[in-house]
Amino acid sequence: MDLAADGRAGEALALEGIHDALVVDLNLPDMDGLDLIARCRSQGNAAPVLILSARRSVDERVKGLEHGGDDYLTKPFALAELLARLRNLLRRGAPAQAESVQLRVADLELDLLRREASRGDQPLRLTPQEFSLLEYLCRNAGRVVTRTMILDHVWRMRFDPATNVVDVHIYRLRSKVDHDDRRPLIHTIRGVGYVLKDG
Amino acid sequence: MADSPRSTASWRISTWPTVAFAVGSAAAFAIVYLLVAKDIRQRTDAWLSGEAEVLANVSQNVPHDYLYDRMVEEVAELASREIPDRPKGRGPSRDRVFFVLTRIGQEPLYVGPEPKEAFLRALDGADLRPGIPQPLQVAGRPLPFRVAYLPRKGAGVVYLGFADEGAARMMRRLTERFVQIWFGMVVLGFLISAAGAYRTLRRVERITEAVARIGAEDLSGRLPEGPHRDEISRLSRTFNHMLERVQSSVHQLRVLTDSVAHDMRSPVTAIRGSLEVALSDGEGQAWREPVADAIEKLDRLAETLNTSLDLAEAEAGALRLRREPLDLGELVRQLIDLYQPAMAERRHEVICDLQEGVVIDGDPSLISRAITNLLDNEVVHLPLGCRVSVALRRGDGKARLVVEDDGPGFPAGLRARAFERFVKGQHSTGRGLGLAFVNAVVQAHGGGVAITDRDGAGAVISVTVPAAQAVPTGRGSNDKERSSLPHNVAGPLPEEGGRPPGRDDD
Repeated sequence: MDLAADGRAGEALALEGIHDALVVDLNLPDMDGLDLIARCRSQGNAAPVLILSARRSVDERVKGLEHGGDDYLTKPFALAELLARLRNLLRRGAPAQAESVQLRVADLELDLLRREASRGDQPLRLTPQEFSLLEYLCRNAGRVVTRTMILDHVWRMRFDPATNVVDVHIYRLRSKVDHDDRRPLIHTIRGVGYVLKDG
Repeated sequence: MADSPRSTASWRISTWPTVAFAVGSAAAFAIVYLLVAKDIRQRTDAWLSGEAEVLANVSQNVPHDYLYDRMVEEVAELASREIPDRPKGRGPSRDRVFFVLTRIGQEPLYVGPEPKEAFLRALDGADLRPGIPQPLQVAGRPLPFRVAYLPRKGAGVVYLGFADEGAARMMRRLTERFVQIWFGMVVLGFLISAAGAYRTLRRVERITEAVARIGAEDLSGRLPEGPHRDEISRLSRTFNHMLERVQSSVHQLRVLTDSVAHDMRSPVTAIRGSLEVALSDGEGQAWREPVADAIEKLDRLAETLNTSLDLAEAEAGALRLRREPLDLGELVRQLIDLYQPAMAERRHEVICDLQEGVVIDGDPSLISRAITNLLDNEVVHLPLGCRVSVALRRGDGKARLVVEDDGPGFPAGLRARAFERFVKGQHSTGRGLGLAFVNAVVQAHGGGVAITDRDGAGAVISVTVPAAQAVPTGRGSNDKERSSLPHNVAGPLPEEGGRPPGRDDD
């Protein structure tokens, strides 16, 4: 990873053409971030671009995406979310992996076709929502997901409710997945979000 | 007003109509003048030709004896008394008519005003032709004469001349009168028009002065709207309306910055405290707790800022709606699914009664945030174990969403101001932005929000939005078997107790 402190340095770095993805702050000391993206694009750099900006209106976001950005993240953001989005961008360029019909983390198994989950040999009785939530956690097993990401991917909502609705969902899910004396899989990273992992 | 009257708008407004009026009326007068003059000349000419004929006959038929001259003179004298439009009692007309009879080998016979030589000289020098009478300028006479010229067969020529002083005087008087009246009318017209324009523009000027004063001092001043209902009053009214909005925006901005600054102070202090604790106790795992605490507070702070900005945008009317057909029932169902566990945790019973196919033309993101705010309210403000009912109905071309609970209702005095920013209940932990945001979003969609209290037995919030004509689309059809509504959940929780779930450290 290379870090450029301003637009000119960023352009020079981008022209090396060795980076898999670019993260561009729109508020650069010497030029507009959108101009920088336009310059990189016009000089043949096709690496995916993630835009960081404090401007958060829908119009600004659309403008950013229309001007060559591939994703848009508004400040302040959780580092976990930035990483997740970068992973998404990098995956987009790679050939699509065969969609598996099963997910497995430790002794937790998800059957994506029948939408059933089991732990050990015990089937878990999950509601459709709980299954979607668990599926999202499993797909990101080992990585921290924030509440915002969960809302976005499981409920398709791009904002944060003032109340702890997500926490309650996780709480209920955990009571089904991690109950009894099993080793806990769903962990809370305080101040950041949740992670599903073994150990 | 302005320094010179010529630089004012009233001057310009009155000048051009006045000029047009002056030129037009002068042209009309000139045409009338020419017509009258032509008519008079024709009458004079007819008389001249006739009389010349008579005199020529007389001069030929009278015997050429010693009385010949006397006879002809007498006849000419008589003829001159018959001249047209002779002024009554105005001396002899002899000085306006002359008669000359030239004879071969004799002095010409002359009847007319003296000096006779001037007339004869003028006739000699003139190039006259028989037929239509022609003008002749005689030295020493103010008016030209019209002269009829009639040659006699082999016996010299008859000239009969006439200067129509009466007509000339009449035309002169006419012109003088016209010029006087015309001048008066032009000046008067200009003054009236300028005064009218000045009076009107004076009101505009007053508006300018008032606006300058308002701009320089404070925004509370208003323009006098006046008793009229004309364009300028409309200008004043429109301007007052604009001032109203500007003032309220400025006021809101002030309130916003004040309260944001105020609201930020305590979390910033708390975050600083947490981080200080982390720094000073930075052994082992002890720093994790304060740092996580700081991050959570920061999240809350960021949320407050975001909501404040959104709300400011919405209230300033700057919300750009991205409208699309939106199945409201579907959306509400999804959101209630999301909130179900949180409600259950607080042992609320949620009763849903959603009509199918209620579609509005709305911004999905804003509308769902508004509904989320309503549900957040129910989660946060109700005491444990209440009943929350959500009903959606369509009627009168409107979609009506009613969120009702049997909690304590709104505190007295709060209900009327519930939509104002930062108004919140005394023990509320909210930020006082929720309902204000709901109200702003719903209003931007052309709807309204009403709050009613059931006399201490619960609150009813009713949101009305114009319904779309479109048929419901398949938007958000991923609910499949997810919801089995109406929900009726009084969830037995695995762990009884008020502690927020899922907060154990990793």
